[in-house]
Amino acid sequence: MINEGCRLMVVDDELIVCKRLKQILEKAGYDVTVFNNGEDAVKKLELESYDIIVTDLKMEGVDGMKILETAKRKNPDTRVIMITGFAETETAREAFRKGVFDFISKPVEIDTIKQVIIKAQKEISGSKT
Amino acid sequence: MKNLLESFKKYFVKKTPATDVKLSVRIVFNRFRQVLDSNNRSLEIMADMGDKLGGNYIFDINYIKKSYSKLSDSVFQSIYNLNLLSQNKYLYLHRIFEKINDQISRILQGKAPLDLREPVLFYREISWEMSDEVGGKNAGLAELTNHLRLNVPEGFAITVGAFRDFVEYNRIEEKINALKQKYRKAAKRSHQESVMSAITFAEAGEHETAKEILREEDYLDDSFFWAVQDLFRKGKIPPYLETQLEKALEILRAKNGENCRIAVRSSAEREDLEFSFAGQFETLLNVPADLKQIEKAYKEVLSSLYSAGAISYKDLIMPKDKPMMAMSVGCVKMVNSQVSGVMYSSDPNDLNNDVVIISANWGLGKTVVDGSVDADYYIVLKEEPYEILDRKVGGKKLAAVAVKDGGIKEIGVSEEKQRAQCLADEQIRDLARQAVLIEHYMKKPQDIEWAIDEKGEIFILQSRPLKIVAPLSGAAINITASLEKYSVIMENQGKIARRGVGAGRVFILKRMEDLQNFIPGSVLVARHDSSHFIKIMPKASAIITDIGTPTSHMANIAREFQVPTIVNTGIGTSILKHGDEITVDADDNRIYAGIVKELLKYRITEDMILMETDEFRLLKKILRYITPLNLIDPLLESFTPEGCKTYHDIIRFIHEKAIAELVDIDRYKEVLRNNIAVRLDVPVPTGIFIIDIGGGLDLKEDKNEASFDEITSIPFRAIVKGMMHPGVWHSEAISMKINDFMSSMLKMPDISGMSYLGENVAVVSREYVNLSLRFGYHFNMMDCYCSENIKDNHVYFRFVGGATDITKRSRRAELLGSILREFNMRTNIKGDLIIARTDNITRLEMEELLDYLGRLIAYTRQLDALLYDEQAVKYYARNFLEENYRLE
Repeated sequence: MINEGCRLMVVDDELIVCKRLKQILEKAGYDVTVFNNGEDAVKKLELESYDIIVTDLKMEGVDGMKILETAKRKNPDTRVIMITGFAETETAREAFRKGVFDFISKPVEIDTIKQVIIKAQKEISGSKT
Repeated sequence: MKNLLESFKKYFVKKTPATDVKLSVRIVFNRFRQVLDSNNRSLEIMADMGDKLGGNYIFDINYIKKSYSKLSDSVFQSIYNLNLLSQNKYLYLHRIFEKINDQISRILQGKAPLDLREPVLFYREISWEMSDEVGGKNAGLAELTNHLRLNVPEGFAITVGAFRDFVEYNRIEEKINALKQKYRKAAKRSHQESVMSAITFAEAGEHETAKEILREEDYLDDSFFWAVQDLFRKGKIPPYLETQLEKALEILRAKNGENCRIAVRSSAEREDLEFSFAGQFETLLNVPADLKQIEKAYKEVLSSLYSAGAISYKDLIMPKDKPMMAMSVGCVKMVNSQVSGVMYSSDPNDLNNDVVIISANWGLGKTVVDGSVDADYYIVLKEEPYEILDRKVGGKKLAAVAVKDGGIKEIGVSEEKQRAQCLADEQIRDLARQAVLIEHYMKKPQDIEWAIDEKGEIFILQSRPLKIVAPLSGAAINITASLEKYSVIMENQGKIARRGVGAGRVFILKRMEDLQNFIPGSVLVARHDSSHFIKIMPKASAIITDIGTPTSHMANIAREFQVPTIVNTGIGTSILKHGDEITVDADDNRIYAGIVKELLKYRITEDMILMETDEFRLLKKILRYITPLNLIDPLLESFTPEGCKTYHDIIRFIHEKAIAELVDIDRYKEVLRNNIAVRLDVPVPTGIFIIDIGGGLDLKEDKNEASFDEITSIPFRAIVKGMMHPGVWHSEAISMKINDFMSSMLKMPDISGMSYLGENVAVVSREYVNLSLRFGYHFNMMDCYCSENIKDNHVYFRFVGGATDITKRSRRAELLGSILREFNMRTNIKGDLIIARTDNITRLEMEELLDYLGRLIAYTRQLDALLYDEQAVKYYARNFLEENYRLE
């Protein structure tokens, strides 16, 4: 199966996002790890590397920007997709500067997230060959 | 509020011209377009919001607030525009609008809406959107009886609102806070004790409580909860609630006798929805239907919120930053149970087992529910003919029975009955059938309490989600691989309106009437979206349409009923075969041949947590005041501003009234005088004058006649084409048995001079026609919009007869009605008036339909005199549908 072996991390402090995404991405065959707070996600990132990370920007404590930084520092090949309710241009600019793969604002169709993940996956496999 | 209204009024009186000024047709039409525009905008926002309930989106509270404010602006615009058009006939709508706004604002602020303050509601009055007010258990029972028509004992709910009033009336919240202070101190204990107690809790699996004890924070011991329970038991019922309760009890007593007995059951706010609180809250059985006794039982049930068992859920019952958990209570008539028990619609230990599990004992269900007796046990295959796979007749030494003075007791069972199977095989199968129906409707395996009365009738007492002991393992969730063995019939056709998975036999809907033959559990496959599907929605496994949008009214309803739905597939009705088994995966937009068990199981274990998040619930709650449509029939007396309960109603009302303004025939007289109109010059004598308000005609020279080729209005051209269809327009006089007024019917308007106030008028633009025809005493109006944008397209057809005797008139209406229904139009007939409408169809289909309607108008012009009897109505209707237009 094409998606097997693609390691995905989902971080969001809203339980709904995590559960829904996990459920749908697992059905599509991905290996999904979920965190509902930034702290735990960052701790994990220090130890292990992921292919793709989907994270919320605004979270209590450790936010999406911090996750982006950590992920990129540990493994520049990680693709980070950021979801946010407030698509502020300033934040977006900063995120892009720090190497975010894509920026999605809520409300977002789950299909859109899936497509962005597929796009990220394609880019990864393209850069490997 | 009143001031606001006053200022609105002043505003409008100032802004709009005084009434009784005749507006020019162009102005009228422009204002009409404005109404349509703002209405369409509102419908789009509404649809977009409804769409978010389909499970395809991730959204947050900002989205809800923003959309609501946009929508509210747009509805305001519509009301404003209608008043411009009608010269302030409908100022009162502003007041209705404000009332609805008020409710929504309350909800957004976390308060209960005002209109849900009804303290007592009978099950027949309860609908899905009230589950927050009556609790999951009551709402579920109401759905089973109202939608699935299952037997549920008669009864009523005492609402969450009543609970809040009771709490407020007795100042219970204040008192609880005081108790917290008192017992927090009392709860201080030695370290040794704490550790021991924490260990006990930890061993019982109550890790959170154990941690709390060790942290010594907020720990409240049992005596606190006992004290709180006492507050409820000693509380007084507010007088207004007492009155309502007595009224409700009177109704039950009047129907079921003075001695009728009641079961008083808890139905907590989120009980059975998210948390099962299984068995934590009290149920009191066999309570006499007497006010004092019921009040006592009510308070006892309320107090069980703080029972020892419920303490484990105390963070839910007393959340730190939210109001305390509320409880609704159900009071239902006791079933005189001969046999009762519990059934599971699926095997909680192994979802791969396609069986229903039933346990039963003599008497009341208590012995089975609490497991105190060795009950009968049946395993039934989950499909027709519901074969009984296994049965075990239990020892059944005891049975619970009602006691004369109230309450219940356990008695010994005769040896003969102990050995007997307490259900007949046919009853077992009937029970299983109902279990499957309920599971199907609830979209989740169910844990159902049932009873059978002395007449052998099955009653459903309660149904809640079954706790699955062994969910599918990780390997089973990863189902992509196992799906490869199934063949895909359709993939990525159309749009998903409601996600999910459903399977069953294809039911192709050819005519609306066939809905009544819909087989429960089938997949409905139809050409168009239709809100009429609401009738079968509770029983449909999935819905597929060729043409439609995820934003239609039907899509909204599908989301309410959680029916997996794919719309606008284009090819559904042609590719799928009636009666074939299919599986619809509306998550991935794929339709498989046969039943894909892996997907169905996946659906069962799927976490429906989405439906239970705060955002989702909030959106659903405010949509209650936005999307439901109550004003359907403009002929009903309730079709008034006061009848508008939702934004959708307001929009609907505005639409209807805007059209009414437009077709006000008097307006055209002036126009005709002013020589704006041109005569339609086609081979048949239609006597139609055309007023072009933009792009409807392309006249080759400056003249006051338009040929067929010069019509550029899409809908008007299609209608005229139909009128000109060979053979439909009969100019020869019909042999007249009745000579009363036929001559008047055949008479065409005198067109000798433009001073004639013609009554056959078409107001046209490129995409629009409003056609008013008067042949003799018959008045026919059509309002059509036809463009590339499916959502804007509509046909509104109205016919009012006149003359001849009343029976003939309604035969004409009957004839038209039966033909219009064949065209899949929604048709209302009232005496001599017919209103038929359709919308949401493509331009091509519109043109085809309008062509037929043109033919219909022409064909039926002279038909009255021939409609001697019912036979004739059928005869001519059939002829017309077979395109045989001869009159004989």
